[in-house]
Amino acid sequence: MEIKIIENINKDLFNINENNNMPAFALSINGIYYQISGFKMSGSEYIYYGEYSANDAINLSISFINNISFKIIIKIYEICNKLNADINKINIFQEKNIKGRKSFETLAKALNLPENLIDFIDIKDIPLKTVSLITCQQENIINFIAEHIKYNDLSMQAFRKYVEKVCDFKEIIPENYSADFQFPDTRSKSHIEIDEKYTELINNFKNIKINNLDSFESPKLNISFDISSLDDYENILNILENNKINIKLFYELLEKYGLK
Amino acid sequence: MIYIEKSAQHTYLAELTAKEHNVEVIDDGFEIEDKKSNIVISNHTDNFVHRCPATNIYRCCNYHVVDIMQGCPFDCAYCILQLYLPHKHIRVAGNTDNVLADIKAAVKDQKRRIGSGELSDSLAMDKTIPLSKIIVPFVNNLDNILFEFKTKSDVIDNLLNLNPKNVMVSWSLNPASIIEQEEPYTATLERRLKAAETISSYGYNVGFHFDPLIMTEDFEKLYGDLIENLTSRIKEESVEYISISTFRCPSELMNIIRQRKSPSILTKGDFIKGIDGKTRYFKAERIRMIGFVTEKLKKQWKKPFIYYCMEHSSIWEKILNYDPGEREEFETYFPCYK
Ligand code: SF4
Repeated sequence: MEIKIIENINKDLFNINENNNMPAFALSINGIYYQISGFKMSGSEYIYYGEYSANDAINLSISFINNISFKIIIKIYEICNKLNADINKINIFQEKNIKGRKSFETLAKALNLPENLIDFIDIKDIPLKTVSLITCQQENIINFIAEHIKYNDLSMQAFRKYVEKVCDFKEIIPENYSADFQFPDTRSKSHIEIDEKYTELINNFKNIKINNLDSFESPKLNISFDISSLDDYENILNILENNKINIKLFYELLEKYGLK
Repeated sequence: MIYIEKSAQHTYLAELTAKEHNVEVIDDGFEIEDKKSNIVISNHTDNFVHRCPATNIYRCCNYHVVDIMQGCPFDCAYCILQLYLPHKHIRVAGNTDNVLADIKAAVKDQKRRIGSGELSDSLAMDKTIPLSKIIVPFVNNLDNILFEFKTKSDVIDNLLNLNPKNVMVSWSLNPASIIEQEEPYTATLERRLKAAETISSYGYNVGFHFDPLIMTEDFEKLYGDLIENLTSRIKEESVEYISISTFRCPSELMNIIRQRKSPSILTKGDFIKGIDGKTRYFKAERIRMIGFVTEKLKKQWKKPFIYYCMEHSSIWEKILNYDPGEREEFETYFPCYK
């Protein structure tokens, strides 16, 4: 390492981390100088690391960054492409378990995602699989998703489900975002009827839990409850007794649709 | 383009192919451009014959598959190969002697139904890679086999010069509009039915796979018309069997379908997660779809054996009034075991 005045230096390529408070380090790749940290500093004095291969230069520059966000990952991939680096030798991709042609295609396309969507992916730690579903879509679909998250704070799971829904109905997604847009209900008549009666049943059973765990592939209902006294027990027995007719009606409904 | 790996260059299949087509010989393992129009003939080391992969939860018919070819020129939206195969190009086993030896070993002690349509379409490439010319004469010399070519093509020319003895040809069928939207590059319904007519009058037994049934708003009209069209053109005596099953897939495949450019009806179904973890239609819908197709077929045709691929025993009982049981018992219902 040496202190060096460098006038002709590329200050932009590695400038991917806005919060970088490091000193101004520099290196050269094939004789071309690059600043790799301390982007807030002005002047032309650098701590010069010497000549590096593209792969080593990228790995070194990443080592100065504390928090590698998704935004930074996609920028790193962009640098790799610009410098013709070997992605298999870039440590951060291995650390983040990013591998396979598809994942890198996703990173390349993610560069063009709307800024707020990239921030959302970062904050919510959205898995690459979901990102890859988004990046494959046309612009209006991507914008629709980006608009939706401006007004709705979705969890990671809820976001995945929302993205899947939008992709399922891509041909009817309007050009411009509308908060009132409703997805069609894909459930069949029988499914809706069963769901409604099932919800009624759950309500009628009050503090007794009643559950079908396999989406009615089987007619099995699990019934469970807790008691702490004889009163509780009698109360449960009453609820069970009063619901006999509801259970009968429910199984008749399942039978009507061949589910029993 | 057809590529032949050096080690497979002198195999019978490679020579047969090279006689009729331009081929390029490449080093073993050379990476060609990964696209559907590229074919590589090489020597495969895998076990070629195996039991159709299935779970115990849903009824399975003990079908066996022979993996001679991996990859398909067609591009069905629901194709499981999009998930299973790490490549788009088509890989063919040049060492057909080993393939045939595996087929022979598989039927040594027991009669089996074996087909080549699992990791590819059995006939789509038969003009270019004439596997039927190698398979048919061989299986006709075995006692214990019914070999099935399963296809969505109308490539039957080679079969029309071969003896149909131990062989059947089957078509996957869907209404014309669904074929157009969900099964790009396959033969139209009309061409498939025409091919089925030709092949059955030549003397082959035929089969039909209503699989996957796909729910649409006008399901009954579309499938009803299809069945009338089929049953008015094919003699039921030539039908070996018919399978019926609704669309189902691992959830990862659903994401692949979502990533395809054109929208698909498949993303708009009433789906649940089945007991085996796969996405399938809500059971009442499955009963409605399978029940409709079964009833409609039975109205027109009394004889052909109908079975349900990977369905719950309760659905068999509900529609056909019996449970075919586990694999070994199930297969005894097929006419070729009688
Ligand atoms: S014909 Fe079969 S193997 Fe070929 S793409 Fe369609 S589903 Fe896949």
